[in-house]
Amino acid sequence: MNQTTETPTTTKTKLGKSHTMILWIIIIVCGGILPSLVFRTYHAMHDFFLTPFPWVIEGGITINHALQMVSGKIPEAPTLTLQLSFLVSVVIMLVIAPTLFLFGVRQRAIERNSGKEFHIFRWSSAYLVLGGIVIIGPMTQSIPISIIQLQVSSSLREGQAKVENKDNIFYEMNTIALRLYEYRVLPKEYGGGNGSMAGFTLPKELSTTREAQYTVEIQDSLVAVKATSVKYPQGIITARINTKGKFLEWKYSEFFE
Amino acid sequence: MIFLWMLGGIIVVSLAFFLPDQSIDLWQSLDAAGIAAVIYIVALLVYILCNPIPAKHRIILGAVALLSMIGLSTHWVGMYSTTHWQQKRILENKSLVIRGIMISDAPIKLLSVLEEYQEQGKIKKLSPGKIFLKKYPQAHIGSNVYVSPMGDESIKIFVTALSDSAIVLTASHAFAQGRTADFLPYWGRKGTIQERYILTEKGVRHESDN
Repeated sequence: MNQTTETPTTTKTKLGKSHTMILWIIIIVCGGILPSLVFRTYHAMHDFFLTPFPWVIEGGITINHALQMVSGKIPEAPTLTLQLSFLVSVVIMLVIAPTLFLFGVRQRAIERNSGKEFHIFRWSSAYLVLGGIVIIGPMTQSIPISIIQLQVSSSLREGQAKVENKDNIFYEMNTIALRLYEYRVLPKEYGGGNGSMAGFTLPKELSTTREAQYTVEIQDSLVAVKATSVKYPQGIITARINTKGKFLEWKYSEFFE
Repeated sequence: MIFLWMLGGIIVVSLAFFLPDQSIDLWQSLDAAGIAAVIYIVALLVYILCNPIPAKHRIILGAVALLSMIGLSTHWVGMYSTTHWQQKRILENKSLVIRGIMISDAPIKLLSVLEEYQEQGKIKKLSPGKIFLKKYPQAHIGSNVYVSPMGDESIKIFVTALSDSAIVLTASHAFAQGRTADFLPYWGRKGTIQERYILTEKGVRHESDN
């Protein structure tokens, strides 16, 4: 009697498991792989795209606009396809997927509390898996990616500040070269050197600026100008200038090379 | 219920996305949609995390959601701030380079006139204006005296005043942005760089207009 009752139950469980597996494969294909293939194909044909991080794409567009402006082009307004790509990405990432996932969690809790028979395949599992496929990746990446982003940003700002300091020093040294030329040309009555560089002193506003401290050394018909960065004291630039305010030679400390 | 929530979320986020003025970039739209989405997720979490979910699961789910939102928001804000900073720097660097080219050309032209003027000694036969015209015979008010070694037509140095006692050279750029966006330059787009160099017998004065 026992043997006759046990055999059909085992067969039913085996059939149930294979049925569940097929359904899971269908869910994964329909929920994850199929939409991905459809969007990839569509993207290849049109400009439409989906991204978990639309702000990264927009960041790239912002930089691209700057480069266009630098070369004299006026950036174009975003296309409707681009706007829709962003909107659909945000909706999928921050509305549809979290809703599916969280409702899946809630539904499973309700089912567990109801005391009904436990089925592996049910709507709550489908919600959980479909939502999970979309949000698990970006969720797990969110903290590391934001830390990396902060580090990259900090390193960019540091590098840029150095380049900017160097460029500003170049500009100020150009101003000094002009003052020297002007000094040599002007007669004494106008505060000049009357044909000579001797006696030239840097005006206060040029000897120390926000960027650097400057010193001038007259050597025969040439002038050596030395700039020591205020922001980076290890950054030193020296240049030799002729009597017509033209730069003949530049030297940089290791920090500025 | 799930479809009502989803529909509500999609409507709120879409409205927020299209609410700001559509400028050349989509940051405002993205930010508005992002804020609407965060409000939606918080409301959804409050609804989901009430009974019947066990307290332990509620804490875990809430913590994971909070951490993810903090991570994504930090990344989002960081990307906005970094790319806008980079954009500003790219434009400012361009302006600095252009000002560098202007200062290494226009005042040198004027100082060479001043040099020749002063070399005449006590009795001046030629005025600075006459010497300038001797050096640049084609020059007249409104003419460009800058020739780019690279054939670049975007920088121009115009003669904007020319008399015996004073010469004014106005350096402009076709599109490089200056300090004030509303500034109307002598030449080029509105808001572009403009530097002026004024020569008198007392020397060269530099005025940075924009």
